[in-house]
Amino acid sequence: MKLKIVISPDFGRERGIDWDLLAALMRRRNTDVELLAPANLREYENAISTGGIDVVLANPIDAIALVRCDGFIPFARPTRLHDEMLISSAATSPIRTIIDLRPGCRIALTTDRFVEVIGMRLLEPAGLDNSSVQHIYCETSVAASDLVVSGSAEIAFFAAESYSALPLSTRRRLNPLVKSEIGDLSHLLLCHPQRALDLADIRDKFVELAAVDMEAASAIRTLGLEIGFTPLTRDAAEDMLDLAQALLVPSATFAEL
Amino acid sequence: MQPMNIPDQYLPCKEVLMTYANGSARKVYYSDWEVPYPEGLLIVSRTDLHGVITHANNAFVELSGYSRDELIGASHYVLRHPDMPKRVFADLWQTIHAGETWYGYVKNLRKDGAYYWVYATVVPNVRNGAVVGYTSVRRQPARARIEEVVSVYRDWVTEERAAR
Repeated sequence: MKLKIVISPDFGRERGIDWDLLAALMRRRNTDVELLAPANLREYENAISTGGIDVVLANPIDAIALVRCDGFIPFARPTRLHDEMLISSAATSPIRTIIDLRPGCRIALTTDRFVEVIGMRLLEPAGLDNSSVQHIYCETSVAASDLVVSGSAEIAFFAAESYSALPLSTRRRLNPLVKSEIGDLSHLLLCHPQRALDLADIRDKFVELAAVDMEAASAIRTLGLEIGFTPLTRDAAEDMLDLAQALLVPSATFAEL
Repeated sequence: MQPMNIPDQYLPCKEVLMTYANGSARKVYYSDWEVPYPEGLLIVSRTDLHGVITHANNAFVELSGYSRDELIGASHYVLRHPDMPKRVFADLWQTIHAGETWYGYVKNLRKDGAYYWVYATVVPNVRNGAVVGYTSVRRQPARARIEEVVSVYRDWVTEERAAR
């Protein structure tokens, strides 16, 4: 079997995951893998739109359109890895809670749409929305943290795992304000609709990845995937997408309802 | 359900017999004690077509004061506060029965009689073209927006009680 796999740039980027290792493990299961790990959102979208891909590892916000508009089929998720995000000010900042934030607030963030959507929902208690803040997009979470520490942004948005992966010296100069506690959202593996007939085989390749042998299981853990991938039913995936969809829409004023 | 953990200054709890659209009724205890919505928490629940809870995330368990076992299988109206106008829930059901998403501000009743405000989104779960249940996501609203709602809801509840 031959598979072309695209990994969302927000997944494991800060941990420096060795995707070649995943490809090597797949090849041991007689799967000829071409693995694309785009560096940013633009490259990721180009990789998907140019076609010829078989599997995408997408965050739940991006997965909404891929599944419900483009017909991709969700079939598995990383085991025990939930998507959460964190908002931080600088350690020296007078901003100690979300409600200290004011209109005009500058937010340093990467182009991770999950982090941006959830982050904006968590700013709503301060009465802030896209029209009252300034987004400063960065290539990496390290760059975002630098902007906050230098005072060029009041806060930064991080994927929770990206924040954890920052050097301790950087984290000491940050002051986490809030971390999301959702627990029901994770990245999803999606199969291109043109490979629908091979779905069961493709799912097995991923789900049984860590079951090859002890060496493979150990390698999977070094990928930050703990124990690999868990199969996902269509209903369970749709539940996740319904939740993600509900979070896409900013809150309205009472007069707007 | 008896109140518990309420600070002394908010005791004794008031009690009222609440009736629901499905004809059922239950006595609830409530106080003026507002539990602050914890930052970062997103409450997620799913119900069947009749509003019976089938899924509750940890945030829901934490803020509602109920155990997960108590929530699963219960009707979502266990959260309904006496200060909430019936017309809000009528609008909710009318909207989601039409297959659309509902948004609104809701004062929820905790098991212990305290309350917390949420901004709620209710999404119909469409599977193979049919609605099979609903997902509700609740998040922390801005205090200014709650203030806009309180007096309106109070007027609506007064009107509804006068009309009985």
